Order: sequence, then C-alpha cells, then structure tokens
Amino acid sequence: MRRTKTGPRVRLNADEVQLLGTVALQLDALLSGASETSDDETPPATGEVAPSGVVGRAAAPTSGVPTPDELAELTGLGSEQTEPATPPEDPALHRLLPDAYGDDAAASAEFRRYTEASLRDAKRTDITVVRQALASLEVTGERVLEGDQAESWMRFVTDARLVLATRLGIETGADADLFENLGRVDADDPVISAYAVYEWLGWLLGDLVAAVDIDAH
Amino acid sequence: MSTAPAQVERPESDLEADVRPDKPWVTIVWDDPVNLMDYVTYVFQKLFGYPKKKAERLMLQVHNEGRAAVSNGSREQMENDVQRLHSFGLWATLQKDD
Repeated sequence: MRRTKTGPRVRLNADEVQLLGTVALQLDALLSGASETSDDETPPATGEVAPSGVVGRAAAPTSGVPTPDELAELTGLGSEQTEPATPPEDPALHRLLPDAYGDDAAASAEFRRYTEASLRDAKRTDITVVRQALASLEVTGERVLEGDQAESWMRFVTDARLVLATRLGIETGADADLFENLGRVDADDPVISAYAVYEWLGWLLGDLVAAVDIDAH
Repeated sequence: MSTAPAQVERPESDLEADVRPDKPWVTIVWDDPVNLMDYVTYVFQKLFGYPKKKAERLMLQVHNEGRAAVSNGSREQMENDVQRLHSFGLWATLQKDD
C-alpha cells in the first residue's frame, strides 16, 4: 500500500476483492440481524500467491478460501435480533457491541438501549463505504482512499477480525499463537482457511495504518 | 492491579486545570488478543489528539498491564469516548474514578 497526498492507495487482486466483498456481506448481515444472505457459490480460482503489488504483504489466500456459504456457517449468521437492552447472545456480535460498564449491568443496559442502534448503523456505514470502493476496485484493481475512507476500512477490517477471532475461539494471545503455529497443513480445512483470512486481514490493516498520515486530518 | 488512572490532558481549548472533582469518571481500555498495537496507537492519537509517544505509552500499558485509563471527565464525556472506542473495535468501559 502506498501513501499518496490524498490517502493510501490500495491494490487488490480479483480474489481479494471477492473475499472482502464476501466478508462485508456477512458482517453486514450479522450487524443488521438479518438472516444470512446466500450468494452464488463460486469456487475461488487458484490465483497467484506472489505479492499483489502491495509492499510487504502476500496475496490473500486463494485455494481453500471459504466459500460464502462456508464463511456464513463459520460466522453463524441468522442470530435473532435481541432486545436493545440485553447484550447480544452471539458472542461475536457482543464483541462488536460491548458492555460499557464493567460491573453495572443496569447501567450497561441503559447505555445499550440508547446507543446500540447508532453503533450498529455506524459500523454498517463503514461497510457500505468499503463495498462502494470494492465495486470500483473490481474494475481498476487499485484505488486511493480519500478523506475518511481509510478509517472506514480500518474499522471494517477490525470488526471482521473480531468476528473471525471469536468464531475461531481466539480469546488470549496464547490462542492466537497456537493458530500461528498450525501452519497451512490442510488448506481445505475451513478452520485453517478462516484463520488464513484472519491473518491476511491483519496484514491489510497493518498496511492501512502504516499508510495513513495521522497529521493530515 | 493498580486502580490509579493516568492523568490525561484534554486537548487544546480546555482552560481549566485537571481538577479531579470536576472529572470524576474515567474511560478504561482493555487488552484483547485481536487488535494490533499500531492500530490501537493510531486510535488513541486520532480520538484523543494525543501525540504519538503518549498514545504508544498508553497502548503499551494496555498490552502489558491488561488495561489503561485513557481519558477522564464527566460521565457523559466518558460515555461518548467509550462509544467512539467501540466504533473502532476497541474494548472500553467507563467507571467512577476513585
């Protein structure tokens, strides 16, 4: 990723665009409480594994990338929308919409009643920004993220990682290390490939953070 | 675990001294195994206007000690900070500063 005067320039290959599009749809469904969307299942092409024009980061995992249905199963969509005052039952959604008071359930419920809807909306707005950029990236392969777009991308990628980590059972640093050491033994294992996606999203986020000029508000 | 919050400065226009009775609430950010250190540092710079060194110090405190107080003020201000932090995927809570 390169820093330009107006913002970071993102380069993604077709598989990466498709992967992010799938992740965006799943995340949006989770946040909206809708039942899972079902896109046509297109097997990922065996794409290149060479770096895709981005400094320091290999292309997204292509073989063994979960199909939209597999990813949907992994992310456990279709969770019922809970009452605003109670924390989401889905632990991944709960992590995206955490309690604000550590030791005061009543205060947390009150806070949630007043703020959860707008937090969901804010996250879904970030997803919309990303999906719009992906539509253009699908055609051009690269795009400068101007203005606040880069931050929308950062928040979106972070939310996606939080959901994946919850599904993978990553609760501690030690859990994360365990996955790191598993390697790519079975690329067709949906758990392994979900972790590969999680890891790739981490690299993407790192590139975004590095490419944003914090002083250029 | 230490409960003493870090004294933090409100950016720019806040002319009042940082008198604790006027700012009885504090925002805590908690460690998690997902968020990247560079990202957390960025969020602290962005949301609170902290210089990079301060943002890094707070991030490292979260990382090493499990939590850090990142801002203080009125309850309403802290609720706002918590919500902004949640929008960035950080895990934050507010509590009385005692």
